[in-house]
Amino acid sequence: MNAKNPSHSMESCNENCANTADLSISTLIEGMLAENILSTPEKTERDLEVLMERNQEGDGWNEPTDQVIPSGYQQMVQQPVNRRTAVKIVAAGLLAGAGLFQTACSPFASAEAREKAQLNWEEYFKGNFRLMSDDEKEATVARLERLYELNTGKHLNISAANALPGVLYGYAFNISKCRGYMDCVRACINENNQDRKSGMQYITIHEHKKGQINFEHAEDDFYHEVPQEGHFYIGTQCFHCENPPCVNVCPVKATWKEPDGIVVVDYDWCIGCRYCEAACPYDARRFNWADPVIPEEEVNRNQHYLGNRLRKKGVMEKCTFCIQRTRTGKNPACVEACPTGARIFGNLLDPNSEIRHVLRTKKVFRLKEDLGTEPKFWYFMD
Amino acid sequence: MKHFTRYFLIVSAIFGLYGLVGCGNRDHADFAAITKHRSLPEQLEHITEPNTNGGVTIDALVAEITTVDAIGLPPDIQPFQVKDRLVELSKYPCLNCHSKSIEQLKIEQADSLRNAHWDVELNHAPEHVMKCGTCHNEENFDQLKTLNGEPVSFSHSYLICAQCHSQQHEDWMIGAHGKRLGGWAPPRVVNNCTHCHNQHQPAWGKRWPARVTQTVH
Repeated sequence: MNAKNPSHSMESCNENCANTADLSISTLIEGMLAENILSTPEKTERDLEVLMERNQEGDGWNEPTDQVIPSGYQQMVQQPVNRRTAVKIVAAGLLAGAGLFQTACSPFASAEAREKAQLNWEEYFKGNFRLMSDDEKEATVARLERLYELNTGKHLNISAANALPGVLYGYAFNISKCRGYMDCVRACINENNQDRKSGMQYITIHEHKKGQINFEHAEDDFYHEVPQEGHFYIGTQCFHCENPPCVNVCPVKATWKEPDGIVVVDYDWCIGCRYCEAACPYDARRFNWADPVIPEEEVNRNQHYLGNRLRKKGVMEKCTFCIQRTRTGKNPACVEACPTGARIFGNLLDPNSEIRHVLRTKKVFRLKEDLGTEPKFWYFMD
Repeated sequence: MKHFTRYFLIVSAIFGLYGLVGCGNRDHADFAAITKHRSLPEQLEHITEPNTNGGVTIDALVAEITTVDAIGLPPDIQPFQVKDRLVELSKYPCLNCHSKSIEQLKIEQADSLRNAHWDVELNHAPEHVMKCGTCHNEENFDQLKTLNGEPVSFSHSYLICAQCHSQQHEDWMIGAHGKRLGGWAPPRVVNNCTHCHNQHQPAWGKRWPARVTQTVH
């Protein structure tokens, strides 16, 4: 019969089910009321009156009494609140409850898994790095180091060092010296933990025919003996503009210019919209289309939160002037690796720095200067 | 309404005073406006005070490098250090062999399979410009000498190069040529000319670029 008339049977079932549910919930509530677990509005009012009386009596808290006093939990739950606050509390409670129950509080999880869950939880709700206090920066760095240790068993050294006072980094590139050896590119990849699978590079070496400087006709993907006859080489990377268009377009303020002039990305704040990539006139920004792959033994463990720490899928990255090195006084990896001395790096605010000498004594130019981006990356010739 | 009028007057008074003060400090305001629209290089020209570089030094990074203080610097050049070349010369002191005349040494080594400086081929300048004795002090082989015959230590061989390559030497002194070691922060330690250039064959050769595309599966 059911098979012939499925609609009827379903209706009856629905009714039955609903009835059963009603019945069970109402019995449950009644039972709870009887056992004083749940409270009715009337009861709460009564309790509050009692409380107020006792308050007025003054020192009456320790006196024994027959009257039922609501527990602290009940008092809290039954506070009158407006709808907005109520929704907030309920949402936070649901989230916290679900998360904690699933992992941290699970009696089946190991101590390590619980710690990992707790750290992941705190990492998930941390703020934008730029708005963090120094203590918060240290805390997030410690969490990241510990998480990596829990995941891989290897120790990282992540720094959260702030900009040095009185320092503005600048870069000069000698186009008479560059011979296209590409040692800078290799050093950059190794230093900055770039994705080996997609072959990501921050630096591009453009091979130009002598007599012209047109980037559209330059060869960016050469692999032959260098320097090739009749050609010269120009390297480009992030120019760390004083007036960076990429920073202006970021809808979530995940990229900004540090006080020492380095344009950085908070990889945990970036939403991967790639507006910055579109806004950059110099093709300096790179996007992680997939989770970066780096062989464990090749990971550079000296890292900075805003620099070469390991990225994830769906975030932007770019040259940071090797922030993990330069804030300790070292040169960027590309400068150190260059065998020809074509790359010069230093403090623009120090009138005796090499970079300032170059700006003073050499004929220098910058790319697309007319855009007003004020790159801190100059080219010069011998 | 009465209160509103009162507040309005107070606020206008504050703004008025601010405007008057602003007019008094007009020079500063203009300077700020100009500097804001100046290009970065123009702004940098006005920054001439000595800078401590945030107190950072690379003493630890250059501690293991044997250096000598650069000599023969013009007064407007900040003192700096040069990586010592002398300590790297494997056959030094040269007088171990060169106490005899070169002709004598040639006769003595005639039967040996490999001469002492078999790997040295002079390909620096035309023969009528340079020979061994142009730079090497043939009266004391432990030293180099200038064109005038003044002795120069191997540690300061840049002085020999500077005689012809004066533009490169000037650039090297200010940091536009050559390679700095350790980092950007003080102290400044740079390579000697001969750390990058082979003094006997100074031209740089061709080579394959570093391989940077590594595929990971």
